[in-house]
Amino acid sequence: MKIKEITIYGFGRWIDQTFSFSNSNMITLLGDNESGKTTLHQFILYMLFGMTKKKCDFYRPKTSSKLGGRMIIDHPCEGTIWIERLDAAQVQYFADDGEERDEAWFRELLGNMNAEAFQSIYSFSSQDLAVFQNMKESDINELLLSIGLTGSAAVYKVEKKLQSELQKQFKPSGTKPVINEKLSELRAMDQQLGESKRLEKSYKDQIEQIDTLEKKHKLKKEQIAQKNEQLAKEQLMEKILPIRKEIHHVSEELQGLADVRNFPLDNQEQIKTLHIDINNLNREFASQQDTLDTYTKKKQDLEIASLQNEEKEQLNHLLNQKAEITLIRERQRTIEQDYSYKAREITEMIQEKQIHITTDELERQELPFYLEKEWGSLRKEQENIQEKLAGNVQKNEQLLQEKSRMEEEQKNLNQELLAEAHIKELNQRIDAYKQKNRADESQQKNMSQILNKMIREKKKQGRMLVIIGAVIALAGALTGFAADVPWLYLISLAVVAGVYYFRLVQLQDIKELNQQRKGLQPEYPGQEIDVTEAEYQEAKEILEEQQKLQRRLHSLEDRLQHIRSQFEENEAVRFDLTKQQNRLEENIVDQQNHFSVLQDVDVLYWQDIYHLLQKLIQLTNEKQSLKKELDRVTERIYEFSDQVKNWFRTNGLANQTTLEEMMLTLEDIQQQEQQHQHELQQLTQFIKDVQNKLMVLKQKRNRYTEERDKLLKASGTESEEIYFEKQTRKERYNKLYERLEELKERLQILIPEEWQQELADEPLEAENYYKNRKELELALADYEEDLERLKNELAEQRLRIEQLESEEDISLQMHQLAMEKEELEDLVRNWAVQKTALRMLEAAKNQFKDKYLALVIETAQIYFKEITANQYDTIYAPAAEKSFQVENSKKKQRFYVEELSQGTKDQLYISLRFAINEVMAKSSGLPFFMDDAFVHFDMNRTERMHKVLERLAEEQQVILFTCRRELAEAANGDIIHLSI
Amino acid sequence: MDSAVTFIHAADLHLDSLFKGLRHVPANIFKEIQESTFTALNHLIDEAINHNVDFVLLAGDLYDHESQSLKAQIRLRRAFERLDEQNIDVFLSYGNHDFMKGDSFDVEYPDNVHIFSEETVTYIPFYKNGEAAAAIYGFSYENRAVYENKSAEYKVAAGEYPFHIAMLHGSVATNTEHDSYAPFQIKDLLNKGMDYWALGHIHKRQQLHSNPPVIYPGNIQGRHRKETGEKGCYLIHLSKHNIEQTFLPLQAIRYEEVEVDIRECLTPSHVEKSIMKQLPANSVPSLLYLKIIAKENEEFTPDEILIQELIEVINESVSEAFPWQYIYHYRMAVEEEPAWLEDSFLKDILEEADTSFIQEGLNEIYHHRNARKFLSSLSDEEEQAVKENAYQLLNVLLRRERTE
Repeated sequence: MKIKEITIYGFGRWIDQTFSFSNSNMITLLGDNESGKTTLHQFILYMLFGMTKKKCDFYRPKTSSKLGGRMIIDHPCEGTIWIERLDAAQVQYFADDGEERDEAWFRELLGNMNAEAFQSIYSFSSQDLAVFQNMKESDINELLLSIGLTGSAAVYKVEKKLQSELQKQFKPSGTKPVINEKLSELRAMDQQLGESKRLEKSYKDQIEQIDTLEKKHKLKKEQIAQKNEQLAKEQLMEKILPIRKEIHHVSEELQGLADVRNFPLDNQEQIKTLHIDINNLNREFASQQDTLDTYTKKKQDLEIASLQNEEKEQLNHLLNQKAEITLIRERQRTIEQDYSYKAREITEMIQEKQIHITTDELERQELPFYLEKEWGSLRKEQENIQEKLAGNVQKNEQLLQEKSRMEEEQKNLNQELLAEAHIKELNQRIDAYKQKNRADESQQKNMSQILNKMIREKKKQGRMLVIIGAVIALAGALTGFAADVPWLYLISLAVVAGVYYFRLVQLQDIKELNQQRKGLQPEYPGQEIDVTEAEYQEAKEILEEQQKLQRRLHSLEDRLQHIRSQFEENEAVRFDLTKQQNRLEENIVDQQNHFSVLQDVDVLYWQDIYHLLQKLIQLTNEKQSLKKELDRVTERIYEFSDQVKNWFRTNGLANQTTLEEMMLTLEDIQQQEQQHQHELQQLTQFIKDVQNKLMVLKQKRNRYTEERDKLLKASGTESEEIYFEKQTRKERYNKLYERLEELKERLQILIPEEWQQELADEPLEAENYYKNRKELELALADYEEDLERLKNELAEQRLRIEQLESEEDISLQMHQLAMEKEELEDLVRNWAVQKTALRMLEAAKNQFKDKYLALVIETAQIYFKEITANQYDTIYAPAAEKSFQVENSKKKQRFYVEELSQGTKDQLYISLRFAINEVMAKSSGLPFFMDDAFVHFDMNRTERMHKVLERLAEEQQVILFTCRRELAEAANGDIIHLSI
Repeated sequence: MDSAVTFIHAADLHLDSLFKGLRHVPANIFKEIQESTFTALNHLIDEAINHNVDFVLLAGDLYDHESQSLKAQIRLRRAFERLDEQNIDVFLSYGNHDFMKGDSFDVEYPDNVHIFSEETVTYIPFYKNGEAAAAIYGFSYENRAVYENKSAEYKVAAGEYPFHIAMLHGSVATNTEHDSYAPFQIKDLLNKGMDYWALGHIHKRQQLHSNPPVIYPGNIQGRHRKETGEKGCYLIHLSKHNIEQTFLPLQAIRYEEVEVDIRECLTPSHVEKSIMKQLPANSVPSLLYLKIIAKENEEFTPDEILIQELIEVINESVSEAFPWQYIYHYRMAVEEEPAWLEDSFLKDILEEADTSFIQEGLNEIYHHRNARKFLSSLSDEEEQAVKENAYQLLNVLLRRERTE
């Protein structure tokens, strides 16, 4: 494959430039530094492999925005191929026939090589050499190898990376790496799950265990049932024991009654009936006989109890009078009532009118007709006297009043009269004025007159009083004597005492008055008084006045005198009246003495009392007539009563207290008597009836007896007693037989069939069964306990199984473990991929080494030998820690790369590249690019180098970039000068 | 006589069996996943009761001996008890995963459960209202495997049975699959006089024939990446002239494989939104396996670390949604420019690296005393995958190193 022409539309510094390469395989592009050699080199790579956008931008021309170009290639098989690229994306391939082809087609032509690989193999620049030299010497062999293999250090780096990555993931005996961690986690989970599983696995055993338990449970239940049956049997035996015993007894007794087994009971009923009938008849006969006896006895008793005929008559006679007596008694009661009524009326009247009179007095009292008038006149007289007396007293009082009025007036006048001294003074004044002293004497006389008068008066009063007191006392005493009232004496005494005292006081007064009168002897003090005219007049007037007063006083005195005389007159009248009164009173007392009724009764009411008495006396008379009547009636009753009492005594009856009771008793007796008679008649009839009945019964009994005897004979028994005995035994026999049958039946009902035979033969002792039963019960209790225990165990077991069944954690753990496993698988898968990748890489390296390195080294050896002019003839590939070695051909000395000179190092490198190119790219025949690679070559070696290049150019196109003309010229090929 | 039977046909319950390919699942979701086989079973029972079926057929693999759990059998018993309460019979046969001689727990099932307890085909009559309504045929695996063709053993029973229903746990014989159990040819089944063939063993729902119906109901709950979509049972109504079949989904959680294209996305947030948008909308919780198609762009090339972070973010949001979703795994395919060199020396090694070479390298761990217990040995495919992944990794790494 050859590049024929390149046209640059724009790339780096190159714009619109075309380079045509000649047919020669050796093309040298000569140009100075900065002449665009490397850019051109890059353009060719761009044309072949395209470029990333970033790189495109780097090469975009500064002056033109157009990036791209065209390249014409001459391919040995496909002919001329056109490639046109614009920017990073646009590319067109045209085949020889002018048709456009796709990229795959073009890649195929390039041997599916990418830019990196191409560069590693076919593209070689001075930069590579520089890198080669700058590299650490010890790494050089690795690098050489990597260049040799893929042309890159990538493999190496990838390897390192994978290794460290794998280390992080897993170490066979580590714990930290991810997978190791996961593994230990899983192991723990698995262990736990294993344990859970083991537990779960026990489910089967648990089920088996429950089966065993259930079987045991069932067995135990059966055993219990069996024991229960036995127990039931024993209990039954115990229960039926009494029945069995009874059967035994009954059988024995039946044996004893075997003789009457065939005794006939055909006429049993008849005989029995007859027997009963006869008995009944006998009983009835006896009872009738008894009745007869009773009746007879009763009749005799009654006959004794009845009264004799005489007495009966008397009784009748008495009772016949009963009506009359009753009437009389009625009358008696009425009269008594009337009598007591009258008596009560009288008494009531007396009480009502408060009359002092008894009934006896009333009966004796006589009331002559004149009394009425007499008592009436007495009354009038008394009224008259009293009236007069009242008038007298009134008049007396009037006088007394008049007198006291006058005395009052007199007193007033006396007061108005000036004192003697004053008058005297006045007189003196007058006397003095008018010879004075004149009226004094008269004055004094006047005064003593007054006093005298007063004394007299007092004396008169005292006398008066004594007289009145004496009269009163005397009257009191008289009255007290007349009326026989003792307290009146005391009053009269008191009056006497009072009068006496009053008299004493008065006498005292009189004495004093006398002394006063004596003391009135005038003493005239001789004093001189000056009297004026006025004073005189005044005194005169006063004195005149005084005189007037004196005159009036005198007239008053006269009138007083008159009244006093009247007073005395009056007193005389009164005295007469008192006398009259006394006479009247005597009269009254007379009457009162005669009629005690009148005592204490005012005369005023005497007439009324008269009328009252009159009425009372009339009543008393009526009462007395009633009394008489009553006495007569009572007499009659007594008479009758005596008769009755007599009868009672005769008949030996106790006397009753009252006649009525006795009458009642009599009536009762009569009634009883009648009853007795009646009963007697009845009894007689009864006795007759009973006797008849007895006759009938006797006949009947005879008939029955005959009949019975006939029947007895028929049954072959001599007497009724024997028959009945046999009958009883036969009945007993039958009854027992029935009982036996019944008991047997009961036994059959009680005992289940299968046990009957077995139980029938059991002994009859009770203790056996009891003992057996107790033993069985004990055994049963044990069994029940066992059963309970089994039940509990079963329940526990069921619970355990239930727990297992509800345990869902195991499933969860399982799933979790599965998930963890998945994760582990994931990790391992990832690890496996990386591990495989690493191993593949290593394997590839080894393979490559094995396959190509020897070839490459061999080929390189030839180049190296040639270039170094046989100085070195052998290259040793790096092994273990050692790098490339070269061997001196003559001395057979070996040198390490780092021991070589720079030129030789470069030559070794170039030899290796040539070898790689030759070995690896032989088939594809792609152009080989060299860019300023011979810097450190001496002339000799440069020439040799060129020879090698010439040989290389025989096989493939070699494009050489250089700045050294001699080098360019040394190469036998077309030289294109690069100049812009 | 208008006899008819209604029943549910299910198989491969694989109760409490382990799920594959799940890791780092949040606790709540994990719990739901762990319970999902039981939830599906409950759904099955609910459907049986709701449709008032006569009986339920369970054609093998009710649980796994491998992931043995008492819980599985207890829950099964409870489920049967629920059916028993409704007087629904159960006919069951054991398959290769729950074979009879396996180490199962002796859990006793209620009386409504009829078990085919022999390895030869027998039949159990089904009585409805006192009359024979159907004859159910079947057999159980005594051991882990049955290799002979059992179809020859199915013979219609003597007696008046309106319907004949056969249960068979096995797979169609093919020349390729080496471990096909109880292999049969479809034509073998058709002339047996059966009205319905209730098959089990194959987890993917399929109908091999329509009259008489020969049906694999599939398993009732997907358990790994490949058991995607709806999972459930068949409700069958057989009458004299008519056969009705209805598929009833039972799964508690769906496994789904989702392809998401983020080739047009230029920023991480863009990627997140795009993925969210492309997630399917299911009515039940789903476990998603994403196949992400990406592309190297000039500006933005999504790498593994970024995608992993984004998936975590997305999971955080969708796993809280209702119904939740969870991306349990993803694979990213980057559409790369073909501009990478097929390193000739790597290419050589790809050819050189054979099984023994790979195994040799991995023995370090697969033979490790602690690790081997938890690791299943790699299958050929897995080995191949490891190899390819390794090769790819190397290429990527080398390329990355070289470009830097």
